Amino acid sequence: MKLIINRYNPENDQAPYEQFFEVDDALIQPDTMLLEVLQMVREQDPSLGFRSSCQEGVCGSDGMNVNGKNHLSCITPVTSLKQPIVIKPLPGLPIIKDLIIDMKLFYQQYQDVKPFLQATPLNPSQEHLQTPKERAKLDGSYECILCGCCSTSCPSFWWNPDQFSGPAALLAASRFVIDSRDIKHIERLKELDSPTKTFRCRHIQNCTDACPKGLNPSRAIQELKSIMVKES
Amino acid sequence: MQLTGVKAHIWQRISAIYLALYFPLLFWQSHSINLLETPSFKNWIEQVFTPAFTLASLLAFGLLISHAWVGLRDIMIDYLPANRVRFWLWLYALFLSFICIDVIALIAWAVIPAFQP
Repeated sequence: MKLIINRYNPENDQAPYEQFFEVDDALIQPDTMLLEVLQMVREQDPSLGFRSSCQEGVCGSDGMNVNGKNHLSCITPVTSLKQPIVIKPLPGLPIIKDLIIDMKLFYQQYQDVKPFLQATPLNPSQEHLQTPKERAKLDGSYECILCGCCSTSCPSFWWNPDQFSGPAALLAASRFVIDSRDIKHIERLKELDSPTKTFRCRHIQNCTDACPKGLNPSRAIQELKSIMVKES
Repeated sequence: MQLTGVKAHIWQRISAIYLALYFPLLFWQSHSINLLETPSFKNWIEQVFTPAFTLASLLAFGLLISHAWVGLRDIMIDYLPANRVRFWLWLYALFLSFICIDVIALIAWAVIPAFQP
């Protein structure tokens, strides 16, 4: 199996470069995931840098650009990929080393939408109640694992990562705007109402295409815009 | 320049719908007139710009300017260096203002006299 991996160590390298690796095909099984292949590559070259934690598509730490599309390497079967497999870091954010990117701006945007419930004071004898219908509205928006595959596939986020919230943050914003228990609905909408935040989204669907959890941030942003128009 | 995201979004949609209806109507108005007997600008103005259509056209012009403002403003915010965006937006607003003044002057100079007996 042939791989071309982007390498960059800011301490030694002037610019990123590509390095060719080869892994014995005998080691590849039909269910081998890309992360396992990268671990084999790291046995050849221990200096290769990439993140991984849970290794089962839950933590979202191993997002990377594979053959031009963002994936989580731990849930991407290598047999589904065209060879040579070209692996690059997630685009649009600064590279720390090889496939490891600095996600500070991504997390900052997430933090800015206040991704937590702001409800009435909790009565210890009773939870914040929701009808099953109200709860069902949250399906498809709370499952985000913050891997960054969506935001780093979005051109609007590439151009202005410091201004445009990005699909992941807007999906989170939408999740709390539609939550029946949240009492800061109006304030949330006011904060999102800026030419540079929500409305930089052009709905080109890259985020939806890239999401490894099958979520639809583009539709969530469209719904968020509709709510803002109705309530403006 | 101080438009919020949602207001700009609403104006963009309203203007798009109106202009999508207006331009076929303008084409229809221009297509259906008879200029063969007396082909002149005055004659064209008189036949196309009936009082109702003149009002619709003025509204279309206003909405076209607002549509152009929001559309190019968004592109400028996206692609121009952030430290110079305000200057270029200001210049663009000035450019649109000149177009407005130009059209008002055209109406005063050519359209209004065309309706004079």
